Amino acid sequence: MNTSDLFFHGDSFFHKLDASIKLLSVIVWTIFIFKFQDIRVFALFLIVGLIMLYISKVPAKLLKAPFIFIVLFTIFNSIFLLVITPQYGSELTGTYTYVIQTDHYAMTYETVFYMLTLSMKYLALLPITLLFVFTTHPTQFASSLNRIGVNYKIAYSVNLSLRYIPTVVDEMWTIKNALMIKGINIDDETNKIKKLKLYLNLLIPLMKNSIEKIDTISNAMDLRSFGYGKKRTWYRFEKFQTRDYAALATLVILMVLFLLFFAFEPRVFYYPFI
Amino acid sequence: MNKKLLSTQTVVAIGIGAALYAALSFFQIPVGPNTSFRIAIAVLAIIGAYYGPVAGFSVGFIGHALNDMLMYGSVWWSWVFLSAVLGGVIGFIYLEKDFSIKEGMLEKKHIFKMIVLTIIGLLLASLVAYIGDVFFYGEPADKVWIQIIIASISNAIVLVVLGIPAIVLLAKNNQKHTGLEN
Amino acid sequence: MIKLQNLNLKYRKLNNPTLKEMNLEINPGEKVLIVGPSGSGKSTLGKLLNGLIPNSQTATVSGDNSAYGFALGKSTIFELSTKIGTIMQDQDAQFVGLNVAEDIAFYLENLSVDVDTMHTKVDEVMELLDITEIKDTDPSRLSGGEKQKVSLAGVLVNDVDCLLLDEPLANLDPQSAVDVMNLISDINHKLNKTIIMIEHRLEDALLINFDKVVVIDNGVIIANDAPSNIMKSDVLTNIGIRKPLFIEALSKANYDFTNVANALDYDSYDLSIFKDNIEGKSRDLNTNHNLLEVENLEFSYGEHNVLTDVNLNVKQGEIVSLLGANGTGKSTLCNAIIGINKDYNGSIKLNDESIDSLGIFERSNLIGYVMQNPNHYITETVVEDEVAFTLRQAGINKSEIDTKVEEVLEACRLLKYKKWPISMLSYGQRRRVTIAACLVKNPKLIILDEPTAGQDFETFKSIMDTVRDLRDKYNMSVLVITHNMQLAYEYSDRAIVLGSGKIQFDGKIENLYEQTEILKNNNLRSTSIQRFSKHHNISSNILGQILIGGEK
Ligand SMILES: Nc1ncnc2c1ncn2[C@@H]1O[C@H](COP(=O)(O)OP(=O)(O)OP(=O)(O)O)[C@@H](O)[C@H]1O
Ligand SMILES: Nc1ncnc2c1ncn2[C@@H]1O[C@H](COP(=O)(O)OP(=O)(O)OP(=O)(O)O)[C@@H](O)[C@H]1O
Ligand SMILES: [Mg+2]
Ligand SMILES: [Mg+2]
Repeated sequence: MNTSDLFFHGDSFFHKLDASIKLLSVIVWTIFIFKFQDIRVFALFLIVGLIMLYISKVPAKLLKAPFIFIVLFTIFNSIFLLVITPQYGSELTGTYTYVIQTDHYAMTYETVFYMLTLSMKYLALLPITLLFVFTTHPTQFASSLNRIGVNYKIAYSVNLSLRYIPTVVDEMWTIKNALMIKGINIDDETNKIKKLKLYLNLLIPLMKNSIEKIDTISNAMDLRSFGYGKKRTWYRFEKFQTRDYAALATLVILMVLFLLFFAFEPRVFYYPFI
Repeated sequence: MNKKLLSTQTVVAIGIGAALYAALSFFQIPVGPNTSFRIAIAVLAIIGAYYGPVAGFSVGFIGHALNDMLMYGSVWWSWVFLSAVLGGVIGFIYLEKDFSIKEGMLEKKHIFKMIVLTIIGLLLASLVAYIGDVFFYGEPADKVWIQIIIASISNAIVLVVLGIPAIVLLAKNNQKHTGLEN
Repeated sequence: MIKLQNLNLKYRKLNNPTLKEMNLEINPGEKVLIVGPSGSGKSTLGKLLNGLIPNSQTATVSGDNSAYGFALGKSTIFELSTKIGTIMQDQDAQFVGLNVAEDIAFYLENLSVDVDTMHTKVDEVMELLDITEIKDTDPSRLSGGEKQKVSLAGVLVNDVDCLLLDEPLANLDPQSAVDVMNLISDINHKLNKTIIMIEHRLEDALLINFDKVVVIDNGVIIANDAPSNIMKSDVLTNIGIRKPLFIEALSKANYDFTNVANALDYDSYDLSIFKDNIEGKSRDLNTNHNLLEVENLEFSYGEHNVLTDVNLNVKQGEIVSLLGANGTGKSTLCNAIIGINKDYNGSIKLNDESIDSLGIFERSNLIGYVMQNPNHYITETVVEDEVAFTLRQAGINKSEIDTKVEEVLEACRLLKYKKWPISMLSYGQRRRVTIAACLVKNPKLIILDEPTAGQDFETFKSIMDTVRDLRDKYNMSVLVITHNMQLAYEYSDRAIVLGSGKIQFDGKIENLYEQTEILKNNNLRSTSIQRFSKHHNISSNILGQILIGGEK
C-alpha cells in the first residue's frame, strides 16, 4: 500500500485548483449539509457533486468502492433506524401515517421518508470528499491544512502519517508473519476475547519499534530545524491563480448567503406529504 | 527535554500514532451487528499514556479522519471526535508525576487511575459523539444511544483487555534492572 | 574548526562518563574517520557535535569544547545545524518527506525560505548529486544508495561547513557503498566541506583518503593519526576491530610493515615472499544430498515481478551465501521458502519432499528463519521466555523445555543471559536470541537475513561463529543473505547470486571473484584481498586462506 497510489493523476480544473480551496470547499459543503434536513437540498448537492466528479475525470472504477460502501452503510443504518425508532419522523412532523401497526411495533411513512432523507444526506456528503482525495496529491494535504489556518506542526503530523502509513503497514505484516512462525495464528482463534488478547503479541513489538522510530525521526527533524520559527513555508505551495480566487469568491459568497438566510434558522425536516 | 506543548517529539508521535491507528484499523473482530473490537483503539491509549493528552487527542482525530477518508471516502466526524476525546482523556495519566512508561515507572494505583480515566473518557466521548450524531447528522436520539452504548462497551473491552495491559508491559520493559551479573 | 579540550560527558542516567578526557582538533576541509567498537561512544560524540546532546538527550558536559565558534554542550541544535549537517544511519527515519524534492526542501521550509528561492536551491542540489530524475519518487521506491544521496542533498541545501555522517554505509550493497564513499570524497573535494564519518565498514570507508583516523575505545581517544600509521600499528587489532582485509591478511602472514610508505596503497608492498601457491582447504560438499531444492520459483507483488525463475539447492551441512543488489528480491525469496509469500509458482522441496502445501508454522518446524530485524520477532521480555516460547505453545513438559533451552542458549553463547530482560541486550545479542528461538525446534535448515548488517567485527564474529558451531554440531544447513563479501568467503561453502529475478551465479566464491561482469551487474564487489592480489599478480587464495587460518 502506498498513499500516493490513491491519488489519480490528471489535469482537470479540480486537479489544478489549489488544495486549500478544495479543503475549504469540503468544509463549506459539510456545513451546508449539516444545517439542513431537506431531501431536495441533498439531491441538489449530490447532483452538483456528481457533476464535479465527472469534470474531474476520476475514473468510475476508483469511485465504485466508496459508493458501494456508503450505500451498504446507509441500508444498514436505515434498517437499524426503522427497527429502533419507527416513529421518529412523525415526532418531527406531528403527523402519524402508519405503514405497519401492530401491538408491539408501529412504523410511519414519515419515518420512512426521514430515513430516505438521511440516506440522501450521507450520499450528498460523499462526492466532495472523494473529489478532494482523488484530485489532491498527498504532498499537498498538509500544506493546505496549514494554509487554511491549522497550526503547521499539526499539519506536519498529517504529512508524517501519510508518509509512514506504508512503512507501518509493512511492519505490521512482518510482525504478524513472525508470530505465525512462532505458532501464534491470530486468525485461527475463534474465542473473541482470547483473540483480542493474542493481539497483544502483535501490538507490543509494533509499539516498541514505533516508539524507537519516533525518537529517531524527531531527532532527524530537529537536526533539520523543524519547529524553528512561528511559521514555515512549503515546497508545494503555489501562488493563487485566477481560478483559485474565483473559487474562493464563490465559497465566500456561499458562506455569506448561508449566514444571512440559513445559519440562524432552526433546522426543519422537510416532509412534502402532509 | 523539550517541554513545549508541541515538541518535535510530540509532532512525530502524533504522525506515527495516526499511521498506526490507520494501519491497525485493518484488524477488527466482529462481535455483533455493526460492532467490532477495534484493535486501533488500543493505540490511542498507548500514545496518550506515553506522550500526553495532546498527542492522544490528535492521534484519535487525525488517525480516525485519515483512515475514514482513505478507506471509505467519507469521514464520520462525530465518531472522529469520539476517538479523539477518548485518546485525550486517557492521556491525562501522563501528567501524573510518578508515572512514566519511558522510565518504566508504573504502579498498581496507576492501573486503577487508567481504568477510571478510561471510564471518564468513554463517557465524555459518548457525549461528544451523541451531540454530533443527533444535532449535526440528525440521527434519532434513541438509536444513537444504543449505538454509542454498544460501541463504548466494545471499546472498553479493547482498552481493558488490550490497551492497558500493553501500557503495563511497555512500562515493565523499560524498567531499570539492577543486580544482574555480567 | 572543531576543538575539544578535556571533554568529559556523562549521560544523566548513567553512573560513569561515556566520553573521557577527550582532546581533538578538526580543521576546515579535513576528512576524519572515527572508528571504535560498539558502545565506545562514537555516536555520543556525534550527538554532542550536532547538539542533540544536551538539547534532546540530557547529559553533563565539561571541558572547553567548541565547534565553529559555538560552545558545545551549551549551543542549540539550530545554531550548530547552521555549520554541521548530520546524516544518520537510519535512512528510513531520515526521509520525512513524501517524495525526494520535498524531503530535500525540508530544512528550507523550516526556515520559511520563500518558495521560489527554495525551488532554485533544491534544483541546484539535485543537479549536483545527479538525482534530478528521481525528484518525484517516493521513499519506498528508492534504493539504499539513492536514499543516502537524498539525505546528503537534504543537508547540502543548507550551506554547512561540515558533514557528520554516522554509519552511512550500513545496509548498503557493496557497489552502492563505494558509490556513496566516492560521492562523499567529491563533496569534500569540490565544495571543501569538512567530513567527519563514523563507520564500522573500514574495508569500504578507507577507499577514500582520510586525513586522519580517530580511534575511540571505551570513551577514550586511544589513537589519532594518519590512516597509514593506524593501519601499521596494533591499536585496532587490540580492540577487536578488523582492518581492511588485505592488511589483516598480511599482518597474519607476519609481513613487516616498517618500510611500507602508505599502508593503504597497494604499490607500497613487496610481495616476493608469496610466490608459492597455498592450496585452499575449503570443504567439498558436492556429494552431500540436497536438503533444500527450489525449482522454477516465480513470485510477484501484484504487477511487480520480483522472482521470474529461481532454481537453487542447499546441501546437507552446507552454509550457502545468498548475494545480490539491494532490492533484488533476496528477502522475497526467503519469504517464499518459509511460506510467508505463499502465492508463488514453482516447487520447493525439503529432503525430497514437497513443502508447497505446508503453512508458515508447519514450515517453521523444519526451517528456522531469522528475520532481518530481531525486534520484529521478539515478543517476550526475558531471554529464557522468548527462547522457550514455541515449546511452551506446543505444550511440551517443563523439564524437557528447560533442558532444550539451556542447550541452545549454550550453543548461542547466551547461557549467562538466560534471566536477562531482552531490552538490556545489545542488537547482536538480540539477534542471537532470535537464532536460539528458532533452534529449539531442531530445524534442518536455518535462513538468516543479513545477520551482521551494521555490526562491529566482534559482534559479526560472534554471530557467524555461532552459526558455524551450530552447523558443525547439528549438521544443519544454513542459507545466509548478506552484502558482506568477506562473510561469504570466510564462512560459506558456496555463494549464490540473485539478480533480475534469476540465479546469476552458483558456485565457489573464489570463482565469483573472477566474474567481473556478474559482480558489476549485481552491485557486488570483490574484497580488498582480491583487488590487492590481482594488483600483485598472486592468487587471491593465498592471502584469503592466511586470513581465515586455512579453514572454513
Ligand atoms: N541516551 C542515552 N542515555 C544513556 N546512555 C546512553 C544513551 N545513548 C547511548 N548511551 C550509552 O552510551 C554508550 C555509548 O553509546 P554510543 O551510541 O555512543 O556508541 P557507539 O560507539 O556509537 O556504538 P555503535 O557502534 O554500536 O553505534 C553505550 O554504552 C550506550 O549504552
Ligand atoms: N510487501 C511488498 N509489497 C510490494 N513490493 C515489495 C514488498 N516487499 C518487497 N517489495 C519489492 O520487491 C523487491 C524485492 O525486495 P526484497 O526486500 O526482497 O529485496 P532484497 O534483495 O531483500 O533487498 P535488500 O538487500 O535491500 O534487503 C523490491 O523492489 C521491493 O520494493
Ligand atoms: Mg553509533
Ligand atoms: Mg532484504
